[in-house]
Amino acid sequence: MKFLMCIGGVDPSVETIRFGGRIAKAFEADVSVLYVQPKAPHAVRKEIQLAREKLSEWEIELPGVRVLRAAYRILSEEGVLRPSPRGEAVEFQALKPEVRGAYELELPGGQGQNIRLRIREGDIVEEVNKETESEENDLVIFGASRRRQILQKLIQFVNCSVLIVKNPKDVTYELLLCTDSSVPARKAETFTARLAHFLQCRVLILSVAKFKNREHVAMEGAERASRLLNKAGVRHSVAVRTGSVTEEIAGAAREDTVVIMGASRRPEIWKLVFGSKANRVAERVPCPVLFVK
Amino acid sequence: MRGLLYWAIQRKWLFAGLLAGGLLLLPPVPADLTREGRVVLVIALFTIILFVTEAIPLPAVALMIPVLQVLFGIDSPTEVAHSFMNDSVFFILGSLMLAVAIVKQKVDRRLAVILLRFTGPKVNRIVFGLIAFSACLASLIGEHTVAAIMLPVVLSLIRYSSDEQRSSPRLAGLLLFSIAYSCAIAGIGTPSGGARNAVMIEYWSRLFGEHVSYLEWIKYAYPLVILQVPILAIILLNRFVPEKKDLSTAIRKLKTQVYWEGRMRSRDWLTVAIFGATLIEWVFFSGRIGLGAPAFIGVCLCLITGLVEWEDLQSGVNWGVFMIYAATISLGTAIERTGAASWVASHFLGVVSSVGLGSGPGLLAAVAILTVAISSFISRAPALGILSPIVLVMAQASGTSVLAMGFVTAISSAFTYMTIIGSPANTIIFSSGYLQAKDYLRAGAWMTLASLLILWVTSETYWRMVLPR
Repeated sequence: MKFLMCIGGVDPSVETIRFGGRIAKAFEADVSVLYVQPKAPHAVRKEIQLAREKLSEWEIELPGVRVLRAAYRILSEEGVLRPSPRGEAVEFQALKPEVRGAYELELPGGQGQNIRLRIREGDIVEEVNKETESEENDLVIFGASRRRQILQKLIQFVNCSVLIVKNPKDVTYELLLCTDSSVPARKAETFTARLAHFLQCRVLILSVAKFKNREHVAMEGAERASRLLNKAGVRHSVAVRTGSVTEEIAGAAREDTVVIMGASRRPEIWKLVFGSKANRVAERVPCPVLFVK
Repeated sequence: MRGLLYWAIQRKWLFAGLLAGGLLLLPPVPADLTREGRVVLVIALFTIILFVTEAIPLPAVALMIPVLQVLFGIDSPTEVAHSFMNDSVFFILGSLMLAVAIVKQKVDRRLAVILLRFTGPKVNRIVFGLIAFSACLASLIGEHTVAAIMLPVVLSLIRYSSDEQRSSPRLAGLLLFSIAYSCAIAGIGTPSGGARNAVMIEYWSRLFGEHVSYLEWIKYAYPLVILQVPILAIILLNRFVPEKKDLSTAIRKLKTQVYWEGRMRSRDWLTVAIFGATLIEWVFFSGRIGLGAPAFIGVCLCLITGLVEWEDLQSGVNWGVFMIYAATISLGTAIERTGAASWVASHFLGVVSSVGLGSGPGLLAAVAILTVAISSFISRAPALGILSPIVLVMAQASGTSVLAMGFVTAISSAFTYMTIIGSPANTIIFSSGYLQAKDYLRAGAWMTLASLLILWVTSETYWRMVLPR
């Protein structure tokens, strides 16, 4: 599997990197750590490029390298990166410019996987989508932005599954699988089975019927998910509720839960104007949320 | 669908501009404005929206300007193409190319050696030296080039002066702003210091038949550079009181790093000779052969002697900026020719006259403040390109000196100390990662006040004596 961890600076991203690193280690996944910087105004882009060339000539770190350096340290602590046999420091000057429009440093992982540290410039959604298209990532991991608009953009417009790392803790997590009868929910069930298998954790299947007369549909969805998890040998329990989906998920989610749900089926323009269940859940719950696409 | 929707969201200002332009074309044309004048003003508004928001790449906006002029029948395709190219645009292009040739010689380490010879380890002397040195260079080869060259020198000093990065934020701010602001104050000193100066020379010549040579520009504008150098040093040293007063260790380490470069090589002397010859041509012969030809002679000599390859020029020149200057001069000319400039000028004069700023010193002050405000948030090329014909016509209508108005507009557009995007030098030092947006207000507000005051006093004293009536 291939994971992309998107970070926005040292201080807000430490726990995100640590959390993402643990999941990536469990999966033995290839990991790209991506730092997206704002793009310079067009009128001075050449001059900024010239300044960076000069900094490289003087062996001064490129802006943004500090963030990657912190990511490198945390991933090493988590055992995601293979320790250097001679213990020498990684030469961050080796960041190669303009690898598919990014600055990149490639490192060996602890279990033989590839680890990339990358800097890109531009709009965060566009740059993440460029990465996912070229690298075919399975999951993008973000920290929970305090800015509601950015969170909505990331959830709606990133082209692959998204894990929002909110309030991460050093505990054994339980997975809260939110399911119904939809196709996206089936994708979420499959992803949950794999995640629970690799992370060795319990799953709570939650199926919510909006109205009393739809309870049987919710029950069918829960049973289908249960059969899949049984096949995968994952320990789980089932809960079927009636009421508001967002409220029920928020009520069931604790700080040691990872909420997993499929992407919303509503038209994109509707989600943009009125928001989606995914956004509301991400805002309400006190824990990480995974949206499977 | 998702990708298309996101593309549309990212370009919302393009659609907003199109909608605003379409709506403004619907009502009847005002009685005192021509149809072409109204269309040109709508094109100007549309391009300003795009320049401010960068909803589409700026060179694309530059290409749209002649296209819209042709499509709306403002002028014939041949005339629009003619308005694109002129001596000032040649001069801007030649200057950008010369800057690439100079940077290619990797003179930054040698410049650091020269600088360190004159400054001791005391911070206040280093700051004064940095400001004076950067200002001298920036008044000749363009502020953005000097900022890019000096950035590693200053970052090395910051790095060597502390064990842990970011442990001396005030020292970092002091040294970084010394570069950016000295480049800003020096860019006004000569026509080659900033492309906007060449734009103003073009407008004077094209719209009013006033010819200002390279030497005359220096005579009128350089005293402002000299006056601002010590004031900048004082303001910065007061606003960013450094954590350390003595940088002996940093200077020693930096000297060790740069001295291995050794003496000037023959190709370095050749570069200096070619640039010196170009400068002499600009100063003494620009009245006869213009500003563009000497710049191109210098570029040709650099290419012939192998100091620079054509591929270096292709990759090093900011062709987008060159296009923007060419396009906005074309649009500015259309604004004047269609009577739109007179229409806006008369309405603006009506407003400022009601508060007693309708002519002379009051008008110059009002225009200077307006220019600073606009240039702080929009790239100076389009800002000056569109604003200049309007303010020059305004000056003529109010009986104010067109030359004084032009100098005030071009010079005050350099006083964009308070925003990151105000000037290329501001953006370059921000890219170092040591500064925050609020740092620009900390010293920039005082510097803006000081610069505006110096400009106003100069316009009322020195220029009254030396500028032709």
